[in-house]
Amino acid sequence: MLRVVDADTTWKQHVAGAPEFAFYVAEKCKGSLEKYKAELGDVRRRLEIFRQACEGVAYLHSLPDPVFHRDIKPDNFLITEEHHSIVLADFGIARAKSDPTLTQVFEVVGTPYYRAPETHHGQAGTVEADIYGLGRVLEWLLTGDVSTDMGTRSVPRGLELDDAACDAFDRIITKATHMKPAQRYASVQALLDQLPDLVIALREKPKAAPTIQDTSAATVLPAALALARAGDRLGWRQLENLLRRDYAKRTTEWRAEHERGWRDRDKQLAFDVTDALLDKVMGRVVFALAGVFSNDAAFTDQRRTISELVSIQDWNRSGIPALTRAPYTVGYVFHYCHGALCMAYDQPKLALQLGNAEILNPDTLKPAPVCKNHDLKGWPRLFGPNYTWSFEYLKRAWERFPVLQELFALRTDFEEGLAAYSMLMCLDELAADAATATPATWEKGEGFRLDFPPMFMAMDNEIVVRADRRVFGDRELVAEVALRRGAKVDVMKKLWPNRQNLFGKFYLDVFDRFGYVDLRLGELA
Amino acid sequence: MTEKKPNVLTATSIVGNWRLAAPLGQGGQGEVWSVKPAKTKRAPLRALKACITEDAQARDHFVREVTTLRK
Repeated sequence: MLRVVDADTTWKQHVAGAPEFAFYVAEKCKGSLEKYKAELGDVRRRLEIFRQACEGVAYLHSLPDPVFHRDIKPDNFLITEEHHSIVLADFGIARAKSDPTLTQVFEVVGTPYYRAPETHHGQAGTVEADIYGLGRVLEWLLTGDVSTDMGTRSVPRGLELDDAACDAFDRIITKATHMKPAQRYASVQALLDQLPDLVIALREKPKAAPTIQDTSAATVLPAALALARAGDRLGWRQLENLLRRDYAKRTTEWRAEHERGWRDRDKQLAFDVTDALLDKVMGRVVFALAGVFSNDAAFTDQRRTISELVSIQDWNRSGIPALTRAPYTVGYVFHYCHGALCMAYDQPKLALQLGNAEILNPDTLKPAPVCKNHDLKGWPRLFGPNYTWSFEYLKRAWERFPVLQELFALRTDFEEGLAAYSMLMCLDELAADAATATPATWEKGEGFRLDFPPMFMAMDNEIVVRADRRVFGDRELVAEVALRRGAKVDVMKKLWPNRQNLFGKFYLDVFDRFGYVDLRLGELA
Repeated sequence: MTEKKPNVLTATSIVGNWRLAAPLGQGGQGEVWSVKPAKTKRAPLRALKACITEDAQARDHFVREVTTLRK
């Protein structure tokens, strides 16, 4: 779903001189699927697009008061700029089931060819009508167009898919777009469930289908690593689907639990559930990271899985405030890991972008307040507006999942990245009033800014992050922080003596492991 | 055929906490702009969809869209 970050639905004059209006602010999108028709990629990517499209629609149907979109077509799926994920747009004609105007009969909505035949004379939205639209979208994705007569287009043979897979897709499209609503899939999930099996039918034969019963992190890691090292993309995909389904199933279960009211009856139980959930979610985090760590080429691919994990924060919307904390923890762990990874890959800019991800306060469901004074002050938002509790959760997850540490041990550059990322976070904390700075205040670690993007250099024996570069009179100085293995002086600890909270301690731990942190000033010729 | 209406909103206007950057699109019921937070410099661009209409039904649709997205 499109992530709305702000909205004001009272009609008033927001701008002097303009008429009154209401507005909302959401993620920016590049454009619709229709617009990017030529650039959608191979069958796998197209199926992934379809899966995301289905999930959006399934979400609408799963609301306590289900909403039917009624105008499903490639034009109405947008590609977001940040994560390249697919979101459903244009609810202009969507209707909630309880809406009294729903039964109004003479209103015809939807777009020809994508519109279910039974709605041609104007009729209420139904699950079946939306499934019809999805069937057409799948047809469009796989064949490049939709049939303009009664039938459906066949998936082209001899290109990317073998004949058996083509037949299977043809059957799915035919069933989803059946003339009689009752003959279609009963739910979006039923349609979605057909896909993972079909992915197996694609070109490659599976080497060994993963058979994991337990989806906790400890089991997932070895399996994921084995697959990644063998370069078994198909097996990887199967495992991913397995985890995804497991996760979706549990989400539904817990949501049902919640609706029965366990949370008010028994708070302890609520926390137990949260812990159990954390186990499973961590399975997916570890899975995604294992992919990143063991197969550099797949780095871009894994980003998708990872950004999906970050969007677990969207759980807020399912109205389970108590549960949101577990996904939050995961969000933090992920952010931290991925931030570190970006640094290791010499991409501080990417790390910062991640740091900018919006995290809503789970209690108020509002975005954390925008920090003032400093451009990079948004960074601590990684850890929520309240460091103490959010960091407590991060730390707990870290301690609880030795598997994470095991994972990190796979890559030494990751550790360096972790240190560099931590360092940047600290610098951001330290950066203060830049206006009154002199070389003397710099030496005390005060008054410098962080350049954006920060300069980051990884050399043989040290990592350097350049914080600031400034002209004082006729001197041009740079302030850098360097990490060096094996040395003992710990300037950062001196600079930062009063960091008694967990946030501070965690970084200091990281620095301790690394050995040495030094803030130094250099003069440019 | 259809003549492009001039935008009602103008670039650099501030709407709530957002500063309008560039128009992205226009529809019967409003305009879509790319926006940045008014107070911070560095942040990803967002899209602001404004519903500018007197039509009660269109207003209802807009509210429904927002509430559905926010659920």
